[in-house]
Amino acid sequence: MIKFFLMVNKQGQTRLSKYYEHVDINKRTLLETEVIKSCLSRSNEQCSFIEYKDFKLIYRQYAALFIVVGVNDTENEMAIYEFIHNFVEVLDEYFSRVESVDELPKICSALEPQQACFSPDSSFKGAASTTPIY
Amino acid sequence: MSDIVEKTLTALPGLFLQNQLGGGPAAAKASFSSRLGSLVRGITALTSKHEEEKLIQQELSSLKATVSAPTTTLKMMKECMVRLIYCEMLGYDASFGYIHAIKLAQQGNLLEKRVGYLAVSLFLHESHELLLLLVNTVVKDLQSTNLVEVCMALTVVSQIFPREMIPAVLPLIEDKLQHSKEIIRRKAVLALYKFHLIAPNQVQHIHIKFRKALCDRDVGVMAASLHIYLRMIKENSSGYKDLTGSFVTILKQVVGGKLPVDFNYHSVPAPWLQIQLLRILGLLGKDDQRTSELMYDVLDESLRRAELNHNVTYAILFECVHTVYSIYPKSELLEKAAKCIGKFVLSPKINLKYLGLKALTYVIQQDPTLALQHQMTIIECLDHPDPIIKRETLELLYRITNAQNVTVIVQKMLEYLHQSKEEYVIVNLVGKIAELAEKYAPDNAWFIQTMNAVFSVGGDVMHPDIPNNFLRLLAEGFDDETEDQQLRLYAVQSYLTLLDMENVFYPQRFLQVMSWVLGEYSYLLDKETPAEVIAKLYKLLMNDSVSSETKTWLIAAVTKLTPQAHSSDTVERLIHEFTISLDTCMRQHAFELKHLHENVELMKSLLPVDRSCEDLAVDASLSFLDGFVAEGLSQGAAPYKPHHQRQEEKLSQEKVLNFEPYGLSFSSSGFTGRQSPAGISLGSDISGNSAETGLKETNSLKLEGIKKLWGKEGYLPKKESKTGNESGALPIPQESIMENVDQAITKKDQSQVLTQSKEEKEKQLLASSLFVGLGSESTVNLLGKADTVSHKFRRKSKIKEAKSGETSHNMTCSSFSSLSNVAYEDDYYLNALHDRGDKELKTFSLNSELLDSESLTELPLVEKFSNCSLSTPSLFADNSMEIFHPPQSIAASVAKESSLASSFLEETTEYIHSNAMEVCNNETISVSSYKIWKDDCLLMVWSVTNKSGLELKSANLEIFPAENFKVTEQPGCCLPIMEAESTKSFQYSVQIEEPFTEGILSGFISYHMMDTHSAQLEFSVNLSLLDFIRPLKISSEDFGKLWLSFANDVKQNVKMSESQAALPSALKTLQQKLRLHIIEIIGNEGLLACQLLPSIPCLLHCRVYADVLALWFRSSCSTLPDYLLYQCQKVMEGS
Repeated sequence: MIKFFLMVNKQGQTRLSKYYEHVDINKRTLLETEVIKSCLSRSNEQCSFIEYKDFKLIYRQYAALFIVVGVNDTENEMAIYEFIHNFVEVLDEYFSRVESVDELPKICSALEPQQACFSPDSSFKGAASTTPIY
Repeated sequence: MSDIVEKTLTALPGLFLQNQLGGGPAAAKASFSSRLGSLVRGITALTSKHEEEKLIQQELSSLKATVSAPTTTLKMMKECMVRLIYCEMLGYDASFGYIHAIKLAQQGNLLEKRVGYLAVSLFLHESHELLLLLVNTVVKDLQSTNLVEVCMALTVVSQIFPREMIPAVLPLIEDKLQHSKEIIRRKAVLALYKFHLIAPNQVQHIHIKFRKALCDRDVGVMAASLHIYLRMIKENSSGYKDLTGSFVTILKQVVGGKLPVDFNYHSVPAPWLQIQLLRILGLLGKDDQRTSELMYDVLDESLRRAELNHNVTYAILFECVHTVYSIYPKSELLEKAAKCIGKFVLSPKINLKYLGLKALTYVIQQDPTLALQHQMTIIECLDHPDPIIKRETLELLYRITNAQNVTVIVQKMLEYLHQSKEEYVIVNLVGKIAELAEKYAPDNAWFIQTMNAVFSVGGDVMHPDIPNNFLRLLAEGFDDETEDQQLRLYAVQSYLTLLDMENVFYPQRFLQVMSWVLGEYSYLLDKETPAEVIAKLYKLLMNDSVSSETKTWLIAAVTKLTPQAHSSDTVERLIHEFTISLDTCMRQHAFELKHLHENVELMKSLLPVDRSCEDLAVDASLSFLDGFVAEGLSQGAAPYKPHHQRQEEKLSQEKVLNFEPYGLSFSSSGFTGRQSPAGISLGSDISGNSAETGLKETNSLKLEGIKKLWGKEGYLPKKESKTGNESGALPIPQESIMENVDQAITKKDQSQVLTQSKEEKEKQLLASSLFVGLGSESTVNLLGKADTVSHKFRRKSKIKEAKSGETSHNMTCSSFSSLSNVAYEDDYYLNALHDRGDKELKTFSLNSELLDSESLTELPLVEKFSNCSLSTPSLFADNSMEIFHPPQSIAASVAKESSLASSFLEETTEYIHSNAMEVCNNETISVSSYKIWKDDCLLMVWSVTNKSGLELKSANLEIFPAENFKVTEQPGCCLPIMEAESTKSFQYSVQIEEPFTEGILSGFISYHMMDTHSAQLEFSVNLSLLDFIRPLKISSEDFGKLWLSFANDVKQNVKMSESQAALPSALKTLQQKLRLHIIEIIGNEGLLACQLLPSIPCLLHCRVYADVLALWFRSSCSTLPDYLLYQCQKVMEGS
């Protein structure tokens, strides 16, 4: 089960977040800071999966942008790892080149007409119809 | 994959159209897009968090003004909403906008509505009060003719919906399952999945429709339904075995590339769908040979197809391996899966290595030899720079720990523990170390030292069970009393040394453990006197860093030691110090100590030495207070009423005043409100009476509550955990053997690895000490056999095995697996076999020894020697070796069994009972069960038939304790001897503790054949809620009273089929199928009542309109109505 989906830049600023389980707004900020910290502390030689508290973080880096997915331990890490890439490919297909844009504003403004930027669920549910969203 | 998105989006043409047109003048559009854009850009440009906060607060206040201004148009509102979402996403509270989001969803045009829904789903959570306001909008949109609106409503429902409003939309969503557009069907399935997650019993009646969704011609709909199935199968796999074929066919089609190309991801067909299906198959095939056989082919195909070198195929392979090892084993598949794991583990890619370790950890319990194959990789991973890999490796090692490698593994774990700082990791690891130490400790010193490390590192974050278990272990001890005393003495000594160290701070929990142990077992010391120990404890007591909770532990220890101490200066000082303490608890303890100290004799009898394990007899009924109570009553005191009864009375009084006719209230306690003297006396009289009846009730209630904690034998949970701890009671010192092994290893190493580098050597040493004990007996485990032999025992037989395989064994081989075997061999020679005879003789002696040592349960050994004419066939009977088993005429025995069963049934004909059903059997015995629905409980009867011609000894049937059930054994369940071809019955009465829909009760039967070997057979029985429902025979008047006093109610309309169109026939169905009692039928209304055993009443009020039956349940239990409703629906639909 996916618990949350985060896009964070290298400075540790959240660019996009979506929680699939209710988390209190104050706790979100705290959680995000800790998640980013643990992702930034990892090098390329280390694996892309982090055990964090009682769930797992799976992250992938695209230029200065980190995409982090929090899942519980029933999930297949590699499947989520590829799922992140799938998501990026979908964004890429629709809104110019994502990898070349290292900051989200452009993606956001590109997404703006549809507001899909904030709704991984609707555009995303189509994309990921084969992946558990909850 | 991305094409699907395209489909999704093009399915919403209206949306884009709206956007194009609705965008209106270019200027407006530009300003719209630029405002969010500029906000985002502004935030990105900022460098400090403080500046960001300032900017957003500014933004929020301007937004607040805009949204609440009456002039704001919906279009502007939409724009505001987007910015609000962004602000909240960054962690700033935007709750003032929530209500506007709901309004926007309600009032806007398509695009605005969409933004509104989106904002709602992001802002609110399931139990948010504003969410109720959305329900109407959703209902309206679900009925809309515009597909886009329906889509939006379904999307929001599948994300967030109030649980209690589900009935309002459920029928609408069910209808959508038949919609012609696949996107609507898919979203409807996802919405139902959401309902299943939050309120499973509300959607239970539409399971048939899920099946339809699974067979939908659209792949998306089918994939969506898999979510529901995965979940349902996880909960209860036995109910969906019939779908195995469908899942296999679907997977076959997916793997074979029959899906549209859109579903390909990097030319792999629908990888996530495959993973989902593999998971479902794994759950279905678990412990089920017949179901597993159906999937062997497709698993083989998946393994074969997924050979492409891409991450996502590795994900599929991983899932395949997992499934192959979950289901009933097939050697070919296992071989292939093992190869896959090898590929993972050896991969240079770190992510794959991680997956490999994870797979190994899962697989290792079934097949320890795999660990041997990869031992060098595991050693490398143990020193890996990545802590995550390290941790995963430790997890793996934890699974293969045995008595021989425990020291090395625990040492590695402690090393990791000292490095890590994260609390969660510490808690987790500390628990594991404590568990291993208790299970496999080689000697006292090691055990105490390891636990010391655990307590000092785990400190106050660890699970409280750890110190509790440790103390219990010390107190209860093992079989050997001198051994126990040594352990305790060692603990006392080690704590005294620890306390002697200056300037060291120990966690509070550790200090508590120390003080308890010192208080109890200081008497074992011969050098130090109790007074010296007291002095040390006193020093701690005066320490400021010690918490007040720990201080009470300390003072308790001092109190225990005081009677043993001769001089009591310190104690007097302590009493003096703490009788004026500000902490009331401490003060009380000090006063207790003071008074006891004055009467040494009493103190000695009160605090005997080493009696911590003896149970205290507690008079739970407080009968010694009877005289006091009687005196009080005789002086006119009111009888005691428990709190809840007082409350109930108060409530019912209120209700009487509110609802009952005026005349009635006169006779009841309603009068008390008047405050006239007569009224008071009348009222108190009545309440006195009711108190008496109430007292009776509460007495029984109370006893029930108490039973759990205190019983005749004393504190019960302690007893229970005692049995649970028996596995931990094994650390018998095996030092000598261990040493020998080590010596042998070092010797071997020295002679063999001179040429190898030092580092290499170290690794080998580590490997041999880590993987010691993982012999080749694994085949036993593969067959799903639980190894029940004790550790010591297992090792012995393994040594033999290593020896028996000696001929094929290359002594000069440098592979490490063989190294450890060689070590064994040496060890074995050293210890047991000096007389190496010729080959034949050896086999002979080995075999006879084998029979002596009763290691017959070791299947491979048995097989190995089965060709040996020395073994007597009868010994192997029922050891799953059919060749030796004397064939029985099973038909005859079955016939006998049924006749015997029926004879038993005759005895119990006064009660309704179910038909006997066979639950398990083998060549020797068969067990069948049936239920007897007695008035006060459910009686489960298991009748066991001995089909063999042999006598069975100490046949015993045991039921596993189940979470929800209270199972009480009826007398006569352990039979010393069971004659040949006879049947015996075991009876258990079952009660439930919480309502549920379906539960499983499982147990096992064990017996001895001849004198030597024992066998065990497991079985399980499904129990449904209906087994515990009994009619409740009350009058209409009582019904009315009870109805008002119950707070939990559930209402639901059910469609009646034509056959039961009239109320009486419908009620008849309920009476027959659910055992409800029909109290009265008045016109188109009916009153029914039932109770859930032991005594939870539930009332049902029915009313008929046309062909709809309105059910209204009320009960004192909050969950019971839901479950009953579900049963009713099932019954009404079924008939």
